[in-house]
Amino acid sequence: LHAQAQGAPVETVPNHLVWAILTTIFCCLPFGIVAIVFAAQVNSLFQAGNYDKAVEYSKKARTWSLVSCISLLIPMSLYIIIIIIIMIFGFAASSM
Amino acid sequence: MAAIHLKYHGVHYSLAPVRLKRMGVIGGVLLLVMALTVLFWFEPAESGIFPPCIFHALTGWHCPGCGSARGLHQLLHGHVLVAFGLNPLIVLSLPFLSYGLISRILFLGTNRRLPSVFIPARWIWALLGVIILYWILRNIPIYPFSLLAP
Repeated sequence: LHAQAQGAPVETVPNHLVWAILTTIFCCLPFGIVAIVFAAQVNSLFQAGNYDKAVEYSKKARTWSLVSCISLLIPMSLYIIIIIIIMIFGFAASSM
Repeated sequence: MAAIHLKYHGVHYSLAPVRLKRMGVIGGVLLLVMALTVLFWFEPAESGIFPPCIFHALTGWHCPGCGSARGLHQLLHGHVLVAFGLNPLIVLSLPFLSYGLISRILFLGTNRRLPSVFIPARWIWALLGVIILYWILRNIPIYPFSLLAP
């Protein structure tokens, strides 16, 4: 979407639906739902020819997928770090 | 994305955006392959190395993704029906999700696009309804709905 003339039809506006669904299904938290709502709005605005607004909602859809993803990644990485620490201590204890 | 400049032992290095992007794509694909390999070798229900679902741990209810790790493990071993029993929504949405991911990886890696599918807004709203309904129904412990639970 570079240098579009005002009001000129654009080829496509990404709605980031795949990320929205992935984060909704895999992240177990409701932020992905927000992303799907924005993704749907991207396509309805695009169908209505409101390209500027579609681009705005496209960015929102991406942001919420990202929020959803981070809300999973932070506790998951903490969990993995704790598992690794337990494994190291377990190994050290068993070899003493 | 701007280029990144580094100074190491008095020598300046700069990473061009194209290079950074390619490294990101390769890193992402490697992570995905690693995750699938771990998922192939370890049975999520028995191994205990997989993190629990946060929603399930907090509320005791199933989220739309509960059973997906076990389901994908079964799917990687070719047991489609077992996977379907654990999480039908994941199995059904997998073709669409894989297509989207593969076309994204291809585009980032080679600048070529697979034909993109425009999904009418109405379908996306319907999908949202299906996910929320699925979320509610799989938590009802009565016969036809209990089939949806993992």
